[in-house]
Amino acid sequence: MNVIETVDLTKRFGNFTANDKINLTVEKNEIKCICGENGAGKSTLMNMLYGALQPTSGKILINGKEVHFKSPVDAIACGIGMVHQHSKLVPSLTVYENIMLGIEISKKAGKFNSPFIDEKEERRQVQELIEKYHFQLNAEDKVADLSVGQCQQLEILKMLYRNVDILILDEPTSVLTPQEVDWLIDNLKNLSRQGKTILVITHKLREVMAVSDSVTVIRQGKVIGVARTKDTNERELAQMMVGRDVVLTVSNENGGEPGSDTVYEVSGLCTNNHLGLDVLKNVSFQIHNREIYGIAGVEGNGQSELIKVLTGIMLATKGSVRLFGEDITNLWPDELRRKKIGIIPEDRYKHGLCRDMTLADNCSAGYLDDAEITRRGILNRKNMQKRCHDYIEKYDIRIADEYGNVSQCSGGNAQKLIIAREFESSPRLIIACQPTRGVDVGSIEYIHQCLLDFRNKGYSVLLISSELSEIMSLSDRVGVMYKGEIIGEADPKTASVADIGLLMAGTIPEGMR
Amino acid sequence: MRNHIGKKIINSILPVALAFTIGGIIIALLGSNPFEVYGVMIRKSLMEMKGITRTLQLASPLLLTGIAISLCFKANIFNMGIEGQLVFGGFMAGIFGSYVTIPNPVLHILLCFAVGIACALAFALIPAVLRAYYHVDEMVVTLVLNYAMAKVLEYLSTSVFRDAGSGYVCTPAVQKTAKFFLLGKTKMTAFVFVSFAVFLIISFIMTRTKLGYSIEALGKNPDFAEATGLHSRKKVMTLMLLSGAVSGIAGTGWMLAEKTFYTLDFSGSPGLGWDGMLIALLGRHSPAGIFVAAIFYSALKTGSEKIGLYTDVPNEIVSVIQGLMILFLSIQFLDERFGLFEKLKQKKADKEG
Amino acid sequence: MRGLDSILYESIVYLTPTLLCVLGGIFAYKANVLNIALEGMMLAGAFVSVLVAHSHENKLFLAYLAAFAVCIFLGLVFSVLGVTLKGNVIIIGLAINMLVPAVAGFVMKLMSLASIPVKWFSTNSIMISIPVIRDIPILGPLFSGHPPITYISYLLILVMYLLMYKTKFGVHVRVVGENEDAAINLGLNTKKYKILAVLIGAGCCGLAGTDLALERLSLYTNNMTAGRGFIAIAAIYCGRGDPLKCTLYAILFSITNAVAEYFSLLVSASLLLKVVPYVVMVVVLSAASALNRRNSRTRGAFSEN
Repeated sequence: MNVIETVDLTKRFGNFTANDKINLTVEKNEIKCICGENGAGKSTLMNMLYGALQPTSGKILINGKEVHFKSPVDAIACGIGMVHQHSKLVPSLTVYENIMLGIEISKKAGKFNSPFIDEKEERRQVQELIEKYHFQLNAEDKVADLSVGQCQQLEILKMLYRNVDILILDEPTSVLTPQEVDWLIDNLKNLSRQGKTILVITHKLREVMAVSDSVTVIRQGKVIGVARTKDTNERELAQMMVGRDVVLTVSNENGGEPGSDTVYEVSGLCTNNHLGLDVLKNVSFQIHNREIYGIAGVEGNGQSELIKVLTGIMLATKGSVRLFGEDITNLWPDELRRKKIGIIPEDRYKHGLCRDMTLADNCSAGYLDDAEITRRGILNRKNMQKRCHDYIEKYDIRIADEYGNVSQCSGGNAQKLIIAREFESSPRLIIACQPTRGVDVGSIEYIHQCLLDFRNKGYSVLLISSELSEIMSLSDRVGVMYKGEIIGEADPKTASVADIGLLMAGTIPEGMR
Repeated sequence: MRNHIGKKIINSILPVALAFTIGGIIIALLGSNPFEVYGVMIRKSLMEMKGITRTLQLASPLLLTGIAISLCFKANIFNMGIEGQLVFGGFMAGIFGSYVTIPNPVLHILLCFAVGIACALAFALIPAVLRAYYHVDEMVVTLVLNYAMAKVLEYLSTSVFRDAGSGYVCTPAVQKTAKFFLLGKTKMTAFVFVSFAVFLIISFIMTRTKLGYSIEALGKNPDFAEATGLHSRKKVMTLMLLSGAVSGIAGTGWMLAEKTFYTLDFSGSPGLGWDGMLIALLGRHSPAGIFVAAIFYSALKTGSEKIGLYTDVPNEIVSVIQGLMILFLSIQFLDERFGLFEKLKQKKADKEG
Repeated sequence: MRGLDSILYESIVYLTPTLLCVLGGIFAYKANVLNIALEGMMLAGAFVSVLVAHSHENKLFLAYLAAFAVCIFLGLVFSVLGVTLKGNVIIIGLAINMLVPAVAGFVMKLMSLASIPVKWFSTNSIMISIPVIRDIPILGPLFSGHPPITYISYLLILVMYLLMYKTKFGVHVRVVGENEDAAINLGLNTKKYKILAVLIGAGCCGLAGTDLALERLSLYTNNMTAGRGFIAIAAIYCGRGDPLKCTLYAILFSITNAVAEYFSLLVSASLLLKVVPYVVMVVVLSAASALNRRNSRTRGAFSEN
């Protein structure tokens, strides 16, 4: 019998159809992967399955019975739990408090529940659960102190405590080291053997092949194909996802060897966070001309802080940054841009663009002081609009209204707007942070090509990404960050993913010592 | 875009209508005819030459405080210090105008303005530095500093600068050379023109310059503003000081053109700075909106001065209506994303679907 | 010694309404609903309690109840506009702060009064004098000779602490403020918690106003709260919503005020000394903020840490 079945499930947002007559079946105890590009409608589908969204039309059947979830709580009551991509935990509370949230155990006052919480009992139950599933957690730790991987375990545990039979995981591996990914895959298989049914949403085909029993591919809101995993392969899935043949890996091999002149030199960089903890410890690296230097690492190991320091929004406490020998430590973002450093920030809508301002305003952001834009403090709106128009044409940015706001752009087009802005200012160095996060495959290829072309012209790129495959295929050299340090450097052409994975987990592999 | 402006206008008119309706009900409950009361207000403020010029005269400080508030609020700086800065600037300008003798009226007035602006600026500097460089919540600080300033001025006007010849607490009147006089048979002074000029300059800054761009960016996404090199701390300083200077002009003008000496209710109740807040909100922080709102609100004030004379309803009803207006202005009745009407529509659609 | 006793007694006089605002306000603070209407709500409590006492002779209980009810009503207005309709809570707060004195002024004008007295009632009649303790120096002025609400406020320190940290309600309010998504996902009704948090604050403000006007002075004048609501907000900010820390800041501000008041009786520039508490508050607020950010390396004026 099918544990989950959807019949012509459709969700519309206004005129936009996010899910179009989806028919999905999941058998008991199977691990099912739903894959598709960013924006294909995977998340919408999952949100309907666990009650965060209500379908426009169509049916959801759980164990053969039709259900109507009004909220995630209904779904949990029906045995469906969701593990989110972005953690829904409360940092200031402990592990056990997070698990018990909403279902706290009350102290008994005689026959009645008192308003007070029985912390002892809660702690005991949670510790028991942790031991039962062999998770690497401690019931009394504060969530703020956990690693990203541990947070994910906690999210899973939260659902297990609520006795769900069906677990939905949204992009579970995007924040894990390769080794943690393996641990997770083992555990998921283990859970499925214990009788749980598991749905995994992902766009990473390697993991689809490794974990799933069957796979459903979604494109533009429609089911494109269903397959048993053992009967298919990565290339076929990728073709289904995108709708055409795709180059799975771009490589920088045709651009010639990296140069030998040092362009960008970071030495001994240190800083601390607002709690006074050292988050960057002696970070040093050099980038030469005609070179892409990649920084890999599990999120939360200091990359964000490094980016902030290098892009001028956070101060370094020690160390220096040099561009062509000139000291540019702790310069402001506008000064860095005047030194011809292009910045593609980590969080597109936080540091890169302003959603509620016009495309033209965004196209000139960071470069307002250009003579054609501002004279004596007064803006030339006409030139700003012209610049915007040029970028849209040249970079093939697809939008409905040239005079409208950035909020109308898809992720890929928004990112292309940043790419256009930063590349058109004739930079000597590009700092590219998570350049393809949440971007469709077509734009990923385009952005990667832009970075490679820039390098092949003889310029330098600092690429910081948590997408290991991106780092491995683009970079000439890779530095791996762990707990605020670059603990090792490797040549992606010779080093194995396993070696880099070890570095990401903080162990220096035998061959690299 | 046009649709958007239409919504903005409706969003400003609905709360006003709602506030007046409730005000009308209160008036009716007191046994007066609300249409008669509102009729007196409109007739006395907008239908007669004297009323119109009086309205313009009252609008001049409000234009300035309104746009001073907007400068900060639009950039996400909840600067409530306008009231205190205005009162301090006005007070010191008044002291200068009465204690220092300068025969040339133009020079005297100019120097009064210089003193008023300088003092308001100096007072605005405290919260500006605290906000920009020490992240101290500007709202609490400016509110508390307003209370502190009220106490300081109470002290100064009852002791050091008290006009001994007067029966109540006030400072000596400014000298003739420092006064703005009523123009011809009207009820307005040249301060109206000063205020309009300053208002136009600030409007230009808000819409056409890099600083204006910074205001928009800071208001809509401060992280973006900082990351694209707009130096948010410096901009916070600039904006708070600029709005301080504008409040100083408003206070000085109010002193030289209207009050001529300081009393404890110099700024009125609830105070010109607070009126400015209402105007900024009513005008949705756009210069054109602020202009309309300031004229509208000062008409209300002109009218309210006459309510007590022609009807049985106390003037204070206007403060009540004002408070209600701000209360209703807090919610967006219509909005492209989260509007009340849209929400209702959406709910209906959900049910049907 | 008498000087000290008088300063301590006056500190408590000042502390009671401020402390109540603080203890009520921390829940809204933790639920991430900035309630700056504490000032207006307290004034409403003061106005209504005296107004009802003024017009209903010998029905003191009615005055307490009315003040509480009106503040709860204001809390509901705040919640409906701010939480249910998602209005801008800062503007709502300002509006309430302006509306209350406006309405009070309007009503007093109708009554042709500049202030509202309660002639039949002497505040001494409700002061609770505790034997033995009243004769002990220092403890005496702190714990004896105060009206009922002062003792309620002492008790509330403990109650609010337990409510915040030891009950489901407290945990849920904090979760709603810290990660609303998480709360929604686990089926917590976030609006309910926000509204309740605001209402707790409103209720406490009602008590605060009653204490300030009816219990201490049996008199209402407009704007008699004189910024106490904002001082409470400052204390909440400084103590970051922790009931005990916030209480300490409230005590600090109250003592400063009492000391300034005491010395203003002895010095000629007495009015100027009234500025001192406000200045101290700004300084303490700045120091607390600077201390919180002493390790911060971010540059933006709006960056969170």
